[in-house]
Amino acid sequence: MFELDNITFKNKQRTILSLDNKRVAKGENILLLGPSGCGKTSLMNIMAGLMSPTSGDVCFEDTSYAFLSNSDIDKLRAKNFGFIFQTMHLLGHLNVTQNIALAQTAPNPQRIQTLISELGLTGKDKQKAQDLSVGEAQRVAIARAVANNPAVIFADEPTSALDDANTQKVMDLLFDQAAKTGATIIAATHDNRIKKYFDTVWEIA
Amino acid sequence: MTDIALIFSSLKSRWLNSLLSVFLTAFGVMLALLIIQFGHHIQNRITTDGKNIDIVVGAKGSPLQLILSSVYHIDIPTGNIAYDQAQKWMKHPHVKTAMPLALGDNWEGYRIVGTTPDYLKHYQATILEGRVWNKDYEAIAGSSVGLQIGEEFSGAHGLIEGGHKHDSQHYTITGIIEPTGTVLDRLILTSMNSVLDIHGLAPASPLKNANEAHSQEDHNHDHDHHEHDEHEHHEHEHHEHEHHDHGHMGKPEITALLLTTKSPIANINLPRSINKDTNLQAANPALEMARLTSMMGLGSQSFAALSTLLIIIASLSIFAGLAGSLENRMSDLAVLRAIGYSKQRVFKIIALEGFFIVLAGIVIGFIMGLAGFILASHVIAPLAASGAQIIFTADYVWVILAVILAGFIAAFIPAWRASHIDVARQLARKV
Repeated sequence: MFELDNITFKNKQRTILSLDNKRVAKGENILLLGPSGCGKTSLMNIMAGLMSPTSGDVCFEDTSYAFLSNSDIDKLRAKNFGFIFQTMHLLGHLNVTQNIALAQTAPNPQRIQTLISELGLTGKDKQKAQDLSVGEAQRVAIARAVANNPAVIFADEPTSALDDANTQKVMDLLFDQAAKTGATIIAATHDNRIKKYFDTVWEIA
Repeated sequence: MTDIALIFSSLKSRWLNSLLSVFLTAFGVMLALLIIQFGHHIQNRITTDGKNIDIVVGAKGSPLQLILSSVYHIDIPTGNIAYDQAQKWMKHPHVKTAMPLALGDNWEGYRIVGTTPDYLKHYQATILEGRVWNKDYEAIAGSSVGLQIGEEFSGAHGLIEGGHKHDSQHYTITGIIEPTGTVLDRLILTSMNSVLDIHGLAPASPLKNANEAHSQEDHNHDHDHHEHDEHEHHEHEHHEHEHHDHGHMGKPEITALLLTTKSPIANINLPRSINKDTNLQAANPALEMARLTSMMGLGSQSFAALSTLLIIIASLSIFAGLAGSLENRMSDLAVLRAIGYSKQRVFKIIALEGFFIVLAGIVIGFIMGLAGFILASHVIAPLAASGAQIIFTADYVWVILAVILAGFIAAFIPAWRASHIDVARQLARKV
């Protein structure tokens, strides 16, 4: 699914990330594990096409990012990737349904209703995101990430602010949804508690 | 979720800021429209009321005052002139038509004008109901006056409401003039003799058709009949005309003479000769109104500048609203970019936010401008009397285009910034 070819990333001459060749198979859930500032989020952003590497290349489904225009990468991202951000980044002035709908390239209200029901958000669909609890916002973020049935779900520190019980809930929901859609999960974290959920762990130093 | 729904939700979430921008735009548009409306109304009145009147002859004084009082009926006359002296110019070989006017009285602010039926013909006016006067103290009323056929009324002295009433004589309305969109709509017309008689002046026979007037001895009857002196004059004459003792009546006088000429060259030569050789004054309405328009232009330019300033302030407000909120929305926009919204799409979303503010401002500004003009045309007496109406012109399109352009310029920089944000950096922010 992914082929990473000698990726390096520098910021103001400082090397943030240097990675040998890596591959990700379809359905292989990957955890990028390492302390803060080690470059795991940068690697995830490079894989998602949100950043360009200083050197090296990323191929997704045999398509090299180096040969894609910005617009093509936008389209690739919209079609294939879902995102869960560390601080959720829901749009506060939109309601739950609208936040989930944002990620759909083609409107599918039925899919949204199913997700709302499966993620325990029934009755909250018209509630503004700014009025949700942290737990509810986390579930909406998961719903938004899977709403377009993506091939890959990128999750940045999905459990860093959660206790053990809620960490387990969130990971169960995430993997449950990924299993339903056949999505591959690539998560970046410093949280060792979630190692057990992943097939492969890349320790980033 | 559609981009339009996203835009409206965003605008709604900043409703106070959005509303301020909308109303600033609306006030700019409203002011621009009012300037256009008033400008067109004034221009229209100047054109239609003064149409084909080449020369106005009256007493010495301000030429503009003479034109305004005799052609547009919005100022007091410069004085009176002896009718026999006027007749010399009425039958001048270069004069095509001549319309004598005798002013001095009003009914509830509507001027009573002693004249000949030629005055009606000049404005191609027809009688809607009834007939033209055929004897003294019969009158016809303009469509805005509000008098009915058969109704009797007394004229009040002076040209504005509230003067001393001529209770000894009553006019009777015999006809109503069809609406003409000209000054006739707010005048009461009667025979010359009626006005002369009520002011104790001898009838100047024959006056029924001024263009057939006999030549009379050129006699300068220095009888200052200026508006300010009219009341005093009237008091002196009061006893006299009550008894209709024509033997003691003053020589006939008129207020002004409206002339049309046979050739453009006469428009230049006749006034020159009148002004040089007589104690009368001749003025060219086209020249005087051009001078007035030029003076008024300064005023309307000031309003136009104010309107432009308001539109610029509105644009700055749109800019400030979008740019100010952008800082707080960076992470939202980064999310949109991350989930696949292209730069162009994000640019479009922010630019459209500015556009919808401008659009709402234009619509509200139009409604306010038109409603304001309609209200003003009912409440402000001169506008009501002159039948001010809304006229849609190409200037409106220019105002709309100018405001849209200003809005686009205001929205461009925030939209460009929004579309070029560093997505990864914004998403890494903790707030």
